[in-house]
Amino acid sequence: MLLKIIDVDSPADCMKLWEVIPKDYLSDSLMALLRKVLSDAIRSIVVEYPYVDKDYRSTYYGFYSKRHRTYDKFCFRLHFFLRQIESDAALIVGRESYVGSMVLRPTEVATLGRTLLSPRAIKGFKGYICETAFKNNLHGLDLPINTFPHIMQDTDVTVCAHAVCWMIARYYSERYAVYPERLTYDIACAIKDVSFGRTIPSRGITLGQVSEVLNSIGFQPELFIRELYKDDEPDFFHDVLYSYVESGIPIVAAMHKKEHAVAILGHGVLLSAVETVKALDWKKPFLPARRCCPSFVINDDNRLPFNFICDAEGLGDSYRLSDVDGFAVPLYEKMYLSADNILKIYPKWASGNLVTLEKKPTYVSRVFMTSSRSYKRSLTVLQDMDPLLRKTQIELPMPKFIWIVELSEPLLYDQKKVNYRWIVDATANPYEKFPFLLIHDSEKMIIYDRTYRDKIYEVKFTKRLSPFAIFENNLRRYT
Amino acid sequence: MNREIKVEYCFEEKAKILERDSDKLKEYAKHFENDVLPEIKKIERKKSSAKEFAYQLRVSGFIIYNE
Repeated sequence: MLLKIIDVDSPADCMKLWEVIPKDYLSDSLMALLRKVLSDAIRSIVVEYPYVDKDYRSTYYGFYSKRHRTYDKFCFRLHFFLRQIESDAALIVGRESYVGSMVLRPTEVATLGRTLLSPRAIKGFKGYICETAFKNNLHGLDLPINTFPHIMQDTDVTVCAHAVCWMIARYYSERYAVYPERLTYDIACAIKDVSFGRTIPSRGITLGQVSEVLNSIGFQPELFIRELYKDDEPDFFHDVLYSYVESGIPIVAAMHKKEHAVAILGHGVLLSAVETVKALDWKKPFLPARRCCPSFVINDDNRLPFNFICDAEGLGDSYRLSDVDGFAVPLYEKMYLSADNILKIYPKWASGNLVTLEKKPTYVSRVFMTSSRSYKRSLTVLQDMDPLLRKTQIELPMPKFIWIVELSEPLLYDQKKVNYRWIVDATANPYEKFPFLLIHDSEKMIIYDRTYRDKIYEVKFTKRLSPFAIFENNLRRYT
Repeated sequence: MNREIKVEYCFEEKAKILERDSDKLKEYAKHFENDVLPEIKKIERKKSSAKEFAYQLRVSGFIIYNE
């Protein structure tokens, strides 16, 4: 039920929550976090109690009820609004200003449960994130919210890596019917390798065990370890990571030395490519778009959602990108070709004379995966692409997922335009000579109908190709 | 039932079919063997050992905000 409506004029007014919520649920440190991080634009917090939280209940029945000490079965849930809510009758009017909810568990330690907060509820957040639609219900009223889910480890059943797996699992189960919903206790029980000792109470898990958890949910996780890429170009490991993040795939990043794991679910504001080329004095033919991305958005279970991890000192206050020793990417079954393969293959199509790029000092290369459905949908509204190139891609049979390589002159990249866009079959074998579906230059396109005719075609454009708009459907931008 | 379903892509009228033994594709195939394949083999070797490394990357839980 609706316990109290708290008017908020400044973050300090969050202290009024203690008038109804005991400190077992809302500690001093969590209160400090709320005051520091919540947006100044929040005008009302609605307190709901008793709230049955399915995730807390899963750990309650699996663990807390077995303790000698008595734990409350119920939780508090806070709902945040950007406009003032006078009474429960005014909820329907305030619905448009709803920016999400957080559950407070009675666990005394790490009490922040399932948190569905919009980035608009976070002070000064700017960036690009994976998000999906959730629907809360308060007092019989549906309250929709678009976000990426967050939860804090409870330190008994779940640790940071479990919390991150939960965030990813809940994001996918809410977004795609093919993925089952997994509650926090299910996540903790999904580990099959017990060679490190008992799993509950948890003393931490390995990245390998994270992979087991993701596998139990229906993913085919791909693992990337920094140590194995040390003989490559220094930033190749980060280029691979960026490709998956730009694909809208949230990943589990493991920081061995920091003994921590976080979810990387987006990236921060991008730098100008023109400035980046100048600053790095870049002379190579391709500048990976990652170099224009100095920060990634993370959900760190020790904090509220939507923090940053950076290259250097900056927005992120605790971790550097160099702290990430490995990461697990939860891939759909039919995503076979991995990012490191495609990052190595695409430059050779130009150097191998399949296509001839206009001579420019450098092209910014943006490499990411998307579903062919989402891609073809974007083509239907793309006005500035050559009609033949557009129709060819719409007609060409494509697998469920495709890799896309976008090449832009730096100035065009800053204007969100591309010179060339190549489409690659994500189900291809990495040893195939021709894994692409369509590559092109300004004069011609090479089309490989891999499934119906099994033929490679060359088609000349009637007029020289002009730049067209970048593909931006994978991540949602908050400015 | 034996019938042919005629399918024609919008680009086919203007298209030239590149045979696998055409000079253009043969040139790229050679380039692939020399320049691409060794890199791909190296990458696939890395991925096959990633699992062993992953079981050494321990990530424990700890609470910063209470410190």
